[in-house]
Amino acid sequence: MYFYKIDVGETDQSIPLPNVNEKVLRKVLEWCEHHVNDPQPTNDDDDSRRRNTEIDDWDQRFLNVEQDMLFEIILAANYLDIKPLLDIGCKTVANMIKGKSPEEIRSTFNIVNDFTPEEEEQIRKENEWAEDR
Amino acid sequence: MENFVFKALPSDLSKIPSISSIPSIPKLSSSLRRFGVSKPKPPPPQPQPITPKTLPPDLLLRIITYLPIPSLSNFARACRRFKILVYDDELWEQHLTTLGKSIQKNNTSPVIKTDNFTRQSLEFDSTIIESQKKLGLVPGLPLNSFLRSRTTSTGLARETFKKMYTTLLPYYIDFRTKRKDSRLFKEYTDPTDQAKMLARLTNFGKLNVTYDSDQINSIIETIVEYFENSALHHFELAYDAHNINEMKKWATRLLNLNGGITCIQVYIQKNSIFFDHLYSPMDNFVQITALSNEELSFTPMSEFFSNLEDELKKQAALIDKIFTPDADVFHSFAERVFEDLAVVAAYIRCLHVAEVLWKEAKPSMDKLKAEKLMYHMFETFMDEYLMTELTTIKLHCDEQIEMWNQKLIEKTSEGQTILVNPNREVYKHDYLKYFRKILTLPAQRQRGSASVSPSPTSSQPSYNFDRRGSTASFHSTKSFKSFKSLNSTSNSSDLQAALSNIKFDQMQQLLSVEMALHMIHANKNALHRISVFLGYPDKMGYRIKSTLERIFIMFLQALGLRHIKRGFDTATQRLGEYKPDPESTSKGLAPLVEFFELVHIADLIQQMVQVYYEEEMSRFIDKTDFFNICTKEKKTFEKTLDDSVAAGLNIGIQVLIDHVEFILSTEQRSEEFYPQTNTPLDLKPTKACVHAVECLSSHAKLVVGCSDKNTLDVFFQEIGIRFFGSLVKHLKKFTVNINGGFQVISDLNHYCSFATTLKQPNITPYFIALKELGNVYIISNARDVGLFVREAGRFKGIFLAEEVYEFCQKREDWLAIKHQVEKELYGLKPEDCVLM
Repeated sequence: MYFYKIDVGETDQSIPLPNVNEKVLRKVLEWCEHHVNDPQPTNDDDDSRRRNTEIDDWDQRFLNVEQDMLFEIILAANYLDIKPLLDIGCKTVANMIKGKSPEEIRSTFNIVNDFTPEEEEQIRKENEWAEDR
Repeated sequence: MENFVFKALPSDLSKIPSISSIPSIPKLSSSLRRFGVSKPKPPPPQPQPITPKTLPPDLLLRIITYLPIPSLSNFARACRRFKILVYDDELWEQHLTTLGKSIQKNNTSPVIKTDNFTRQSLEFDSTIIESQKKLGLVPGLPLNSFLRSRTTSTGLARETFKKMYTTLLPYYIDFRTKRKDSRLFKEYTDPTDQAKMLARLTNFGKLNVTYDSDQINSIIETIVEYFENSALHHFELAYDAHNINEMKKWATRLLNLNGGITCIQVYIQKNSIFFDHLYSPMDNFVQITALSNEELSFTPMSEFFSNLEDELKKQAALIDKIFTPDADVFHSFAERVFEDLAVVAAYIRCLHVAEVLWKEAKPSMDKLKAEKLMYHMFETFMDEYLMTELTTIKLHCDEQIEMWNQKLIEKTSEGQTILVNPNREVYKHDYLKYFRKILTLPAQRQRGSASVSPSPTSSQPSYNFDRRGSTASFHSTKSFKSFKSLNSTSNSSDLQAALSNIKFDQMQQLLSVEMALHMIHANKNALHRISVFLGYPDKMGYRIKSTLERIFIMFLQALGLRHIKRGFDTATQRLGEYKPDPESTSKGLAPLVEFFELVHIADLIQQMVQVYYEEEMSRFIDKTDFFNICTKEKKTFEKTLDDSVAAGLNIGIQVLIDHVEFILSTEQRSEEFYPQTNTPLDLKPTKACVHAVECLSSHAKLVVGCSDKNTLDVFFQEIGIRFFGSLVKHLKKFTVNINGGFQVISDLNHYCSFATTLKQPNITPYFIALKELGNVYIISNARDVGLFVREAGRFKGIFLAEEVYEFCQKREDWLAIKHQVEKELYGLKPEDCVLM
C-alpha cells in the first residue's frame, strides 16, 4: 500500500523534486492512486517478477504514452524508488525492443549506427549461440 | 507499508557524464545525445538545451534483463553503448543466478587479474572505481557505463552462461514438439538424471529464452508434474513396504526435481503420529475428578510426551537415512508436530509443554531452529498465558490476604498469648536459613510441587518435607521455652508442629510469616514458569520480562500495602487506644509488646523478601539498576515498612511513657520523699522507681533487633527525653525533706544508670544533670542553696536557674530558707560593694 502527502503550494515548505516535472508527477500519482491497495511486494519475489513479463491491462494502457514520457516515468519511478512502477516501465521498454532487428531498434530509439558493418557482423557472430531457433 | 520519500537529492539526472570525456570513443558523443547520454555541461554561451529524456545505464541494464536472450544480439548491434551493456557481467550473473548457479565474484575476479598482466596494473584504479560504483547505487545518481564495463566485465559470466545455454537449449526447444519421447528422456535413462535435467530446464525457462518460451515452459511444467506424480507413487509404495533404500532413491529424485516439497508432505502425512490419537488432553482433567484433588495430574500428558519424544527420535533417524541433510525435512516434520500440539497446549498451561518440547527437540535439530519453532508455537498463547499468570498471582494474593483477614476476625475474641522470647535473634536466623535453603532448592522439584494449584500442598514429598520441616523447627524453637512442659519430652515433630502452630498463629495477631511464605512461593513458581520463556526474542521477550517484574511488584504491593501496612495500622490504632489501667496486673504493656512482636515479624518478612529478591529476582533484573521498577518497588516496600514501624514506635513511645507516668503516679507515695525523721534510711530506689525502670528497660529490650540501628537510636533518644520530661514533672509534685532528698538521689541514680544502658550519648547528660539536681534537697545551708541555684553552669545548660529555683521551692524548709536564698540570688552582698 502506498500513501503520500503532497501539499502543492499550500505551505511554504515544499519538497524539492528537481528531476520530476509536474506532468510526470501527476502521472506517477495517478498510478499510485490506482495501486494503492496492492499487496506489498516482498523482497524475495524478485525472481518471479523477472519471470513474469506480463503487464496487466490497466498498466499497459497507463504506459501507452509517448516514448519521452515513458522514460520520464521510469526515471521518476527510479528516483522516487517506486519499484513496481519501475518494473513495469522497464518491461514495457523491453517489449518495445523484443524481436526487433538492430535497425528497427535504432529507429525506435532514434539512434545513429556508430558501428562499421564489419564490427556489426563481428557482434552478430559473437552472439550466434543465442540466436533464436 | 511503503512510504515514498521524496528525496531531495542534488543530483540532476540529465547531467550524466558524457562519453565524450573518454578518449577512446570521442566521436560518440554527438550521435548519442538523442538517447542515453547527454552532455554533462553545456558550453557556456549556450543555455541548457532541452535535451530529450534519457535513461541512465543502470536502468537500461534493468530493461535488458527482461529481454529474451535472442533479442540481446540485435540490441547489442544497435550501437556501441548498448553493446557495452549487453556484454556487462551483471546481466549474465543475474541470468546465472536464475539458473541456480551461485556466483562467487570474489573468487573469480582475482584469478583473472593474476592471469592477465594488464589487469594487474589496473587493480589500483579498479578499487577506486569499485567505491565509485557503490556511490552510484544511490538512486538518481547515474553510473558511468564505460567505467562499469571496464571494471566488472570479465566476460566470464557470459562465457559460463553461453556454455549452459548451448547445452540446455537443444533439450529445451525439443519440448516444442515432443513430450515424453523428447531427447531428454532418450539421452538420460536414469530417473535421477532426468529429474536433475528437468529441474534445470524449469529454471532455464524462467529466462525468456525464446520468443515462444511461455508455451515451452507450460509444456515442461506438465511433464514435471507427471514425473513428480509417478515418483511420488513409487515413494509411497516404498513407504508402505518400509523399504528405506527405495524411499531414499525416489526422495532424492524428487528433491532434485523441485525441492521435494510434495514428497516431504506425503511423508509427514503418512506418519502415524498425526492420526493415531492415543492420548487425549482431556485425560488430564478426567483425573482431577477421579482423584478429587485440586491438583492437576499431568501423568497422561507426560506419557503422551514421552511417547512423542520417542517417536521424534525415531523419525529423526529415519529421515536422516531417507533424505539428504539439506532438505530440512525434520524441520518441517517437527513444525507439523508442534502445530498439532498447539491445540493441546491451548488446553493446559503451556509450561510443561514447553519444557518437554525443549528437551526433546534439541538433540535432533539445531538449536536455533528448534527455538524459533517453539517461540513461534507459543507466541499465540503468550499473551493469554501472561495474563493468566498475572491474574493467578493477583487472585492468590487476594485470597491469602482475605483468608488471613478472616482468621483475624475469628481470633480477635480469643485471648492473647504473648511470647517474650529472649532468643528471638537465633530463631530469626534459623528461620531465614531454612527459608534460603528452600528457595534455592532445585527448580524442578519446586515446579512439580506448586505448579498449578495455588496451594503449595503437593505431590513432591521431599520438598514438602523440607518446607514443613523448617516450619516445624521454627515453631518448635520459637515455642520451646514457653511450652517446655508440653513439648520437652515429645519428639514427634508432627505434634510439635501442630501445637506450636496454634500458638504461633496466635502470636502473630496481625502479620503472618506463614502467609508471606505462601505468597513468596506462589510468586516464585510463577516466575519460574514464565522464566522458561525468557529467551523470547524482541518484543515478546520484553513483554515477558515486564510481566515478570509486574508479578514481583504485585506481590510486593500485596504484601506491603495490604498486609503489613494494614497490620501495622491496626496495631498502631490499638496502641493509641490503650489507656493505663489501674487494675492491670501485668507489668508489660500488652499492645506494646504485641506491637514489638509485630515489628519483629515484619522484619522477618522483610528479610525473607530480601532473600527472595537476591536469590530469585536478581537472575532476571539488574540489581544495581536503580531505575528498575522492581528495585524501586522493593525500596517502596521497605519504606512502607519503615514508615509503619516508625509511626507505630512513635505512638508506642507515647504509650510507654504514659504507662511509666502512670506507674510513677500510682506507686510513688508522698511520704517516700518526706519520711519521718526517725525512719531508718535505706538508700535504695523506691518501688515506683524500680518498676518504672523495669517497665522501660524490658520494653526497650524487646525492640532491640527489630529495626535498624538508626531507628532504634531515635527511639531510645525519644524515650530518654520524654522519660526525662516526665521525671522532672514527677519530681516537682513532691515536697522533699533532707532524708527524702537522699531517697530522691538514690532514685535519680537508678534512673541515671538506666539511661546509660540505653547507650545514647545525647541522653546521658540529661540524667547526670538530674542526678546533680538531687543535691538541691540535701544542702542544709540556705546560702549554699542560693549559690547552687545560681550556678546553673553545672547542669550544662540542661536546667536553667529558674528551673532549679522551682525545685528549691519543693524543699520542706523552703519557707524558712526562702528569704536567705533569695537574698543570695538577687540581694546585694558586701562583696558586691566596690569602693569607688
